Amino acid sequence: MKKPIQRIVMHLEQLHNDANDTLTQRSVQLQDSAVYPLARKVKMPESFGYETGALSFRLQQLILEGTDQLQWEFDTPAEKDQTIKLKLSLEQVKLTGTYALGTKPDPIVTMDTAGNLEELPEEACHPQAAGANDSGDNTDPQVEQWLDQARDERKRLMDTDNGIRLLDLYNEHNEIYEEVFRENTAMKTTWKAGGVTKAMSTDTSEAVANNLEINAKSYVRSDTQQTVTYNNNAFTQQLALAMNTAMQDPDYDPFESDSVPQGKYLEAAKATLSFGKVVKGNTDNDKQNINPLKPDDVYSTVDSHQGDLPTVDDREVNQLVQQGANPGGGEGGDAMVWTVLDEEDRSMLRTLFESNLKERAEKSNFVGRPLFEGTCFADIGKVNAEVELSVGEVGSEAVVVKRLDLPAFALEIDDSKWTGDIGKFAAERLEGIYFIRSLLYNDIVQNVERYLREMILGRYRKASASL
Amino acid sequence: MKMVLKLSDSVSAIPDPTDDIREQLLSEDMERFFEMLMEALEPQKPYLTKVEYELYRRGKKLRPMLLLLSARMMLGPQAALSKKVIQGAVSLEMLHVATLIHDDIVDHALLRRGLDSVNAARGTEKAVIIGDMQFVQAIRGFVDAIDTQQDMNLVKLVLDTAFRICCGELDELDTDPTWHTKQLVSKYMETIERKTAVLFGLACESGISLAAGRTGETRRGGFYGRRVGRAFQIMDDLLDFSHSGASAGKTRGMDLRHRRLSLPLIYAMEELGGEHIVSRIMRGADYTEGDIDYGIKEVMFTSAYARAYVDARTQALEAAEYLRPFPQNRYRKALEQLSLHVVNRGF
Repeated sequence: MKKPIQRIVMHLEQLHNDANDTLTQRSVQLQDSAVYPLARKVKMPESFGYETGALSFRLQQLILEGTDQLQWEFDTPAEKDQTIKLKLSLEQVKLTGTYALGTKPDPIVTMDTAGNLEELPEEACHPQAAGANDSGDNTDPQVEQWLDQARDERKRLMDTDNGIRLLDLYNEHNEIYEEVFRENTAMKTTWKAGGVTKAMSTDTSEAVANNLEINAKSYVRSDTQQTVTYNNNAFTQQLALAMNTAMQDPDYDPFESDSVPQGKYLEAAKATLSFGKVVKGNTDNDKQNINPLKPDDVYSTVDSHQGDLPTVDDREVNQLVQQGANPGGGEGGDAMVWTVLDEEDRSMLRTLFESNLKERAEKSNFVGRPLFEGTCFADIGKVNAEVELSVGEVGSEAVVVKRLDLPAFALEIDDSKWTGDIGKFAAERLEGIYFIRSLLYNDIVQNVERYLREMILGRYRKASASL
Repeated sequence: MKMVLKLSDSVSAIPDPTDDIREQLLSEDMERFFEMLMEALEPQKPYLTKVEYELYRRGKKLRPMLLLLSARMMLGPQAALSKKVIQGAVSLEMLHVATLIHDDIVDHALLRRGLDSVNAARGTEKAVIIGDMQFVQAIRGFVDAIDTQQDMNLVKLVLDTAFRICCGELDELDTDPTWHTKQLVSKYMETIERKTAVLFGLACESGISLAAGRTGETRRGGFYGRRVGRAFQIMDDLLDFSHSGASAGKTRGMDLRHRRLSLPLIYAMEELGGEHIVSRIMRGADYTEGDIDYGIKEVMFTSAYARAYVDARTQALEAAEYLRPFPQNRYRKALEQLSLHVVNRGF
């Protein structure tokens, strides 16, 4: 049934002039903003607790004030009209709130995770001007020699179909491996432990240059004085990389029984294990069994390999993780995918699992803390809106904000406590955040629109009910 | 002291560092780039119209700029960039234009950069072939310019990138909105990796490699570029909701209209619930213009919109970290600025 529109208008006017009107609000609360990342690895003030941190910015407790100072005008509708047009204005809107400039630890990566996995020289972490000083070359000649050699060997591999397949397989996962070496402390620790990997690099370089046996040597770990073979260390690193890569998957929840590593992390872990399989299958080398090979033997092995690269089942990776999670874990699984490990490997998997859990827990505790906090304020001024209230059939009433003019305004942020270089840096970054400014502006527009819609609809319903 | 941030409904006053980079920092290199681009288009001249030339003329040339800046970051300002570096930048732009032409065909888009799309002006059949021609010419030009074995590896990289771009385009058409959010986000990230990020990665990788950078440096450049590319694509998805037709040369809400699963839409569907009009449109329900307008506002009012923005910012800030071990010079600084500019643009 249709309502008499002019009587509705009259009631609406009465409601508007009613001092006890409960539908207008003195203020409208906005949601806190997201925590916006502002900068990475920023030098923290002295004795802050950590050297470099990630900065974030958040606006909180945002309130639009003055939303009860509403003026409105009607275009008086004809009785046959189904739409009431209103011109509204909020005379003096203000925005108040607080902000938090937060920080949490964010250490600089010192390992060349995209390159040779050696420590980056200090100059590379804090480099000098390039192209300006040619004599400032601080590259390690030994590292240079290894890189040249690696390049030559890669070219040689690229000359064979199997070599190209191998390189393609590992290149596909480069970004994940880089992340694991960059972010995963357990991986970095295992890689550097006892200096064995570095000693192996030196010997491999010499063996490749002189066509000597590559994997015949043993090494004494500088930390435990334990003697380990080349194969032992190589297969241990391979297993550690597979385990840590699987554990790096952020969607894998070690505390959920049905959660397993997935996606690109799973695939990269599988590629790691497949390398061990192809070496074992083609050369009969593994952690225990040493069958010394010269570089030429390696190339002829790569050349003569027939068929596809060995496949690794998803369950093999899951069982590695299970063995890390439980002493004896993963046993009794599907024998077809069971990777036989000795006690040393199982112990390492447990250690890696625990280290990964600990690191996850530490990182999740890094909720950050405020570096600077304070108030923010904006005198927005007059907001005008054009609104249409469609009355029509009972229950089909609707309010559409046809136009809303929110003036340009200035958000003042109290930065009186921002001190030192970090204060200047934060201010510089905040100056540039145009998108976040647009988000806030848009949020205010949307909140005012919603407020006006709900308020007018409420008034209409009240007016309509009284007829 | 009070810091003052101005807020308004206009983005006109926002400084754009790409103008300075193009017109000052790289002015000579960009001049050579445009000359070589015209030469590269010469063999196709009988088949091209004003529409395609305009497509090449417009746009910010972000990808060639990334390549040239990456090369300059390694070589400094004094060294003359070799022909193959400039050709690399030209090939990259041609690859990009090829993807734009194909995108418009898939989307049935009538406008591109404010003008008729190639398919609108010349029909779908010709547009397909014109797009293919850009792909092929991009790679032909690159092969002609290289001169070392290391560069040959780059040719493979270019071909791999072109292949992945095609995979990305197909992946995008093969996503089901009823999947769980986690699955959708994973698929989305995979898609934008191929559709957008690999080309940005290629730009930086090839710039560094053609400037005789080491493998680790080349790889690190690729990591930087891919993160910038991801941030760029997420921002593109966000700006699809906010831009007016006049400012972006695009119709607002194209992703919702075409039921294309962008990151803000994926997050918004989760927040708004399955019965919300946005979710129903994405699952194939009919819609009106009013539904689209309402849906756009609703998505922008969710925390999903800001959540997607946080993801973009995270990628951009991480990108800049990969530059840290590189030589500190104005070109590196410009690359840092570009990664931030991608996510700082207002709407």
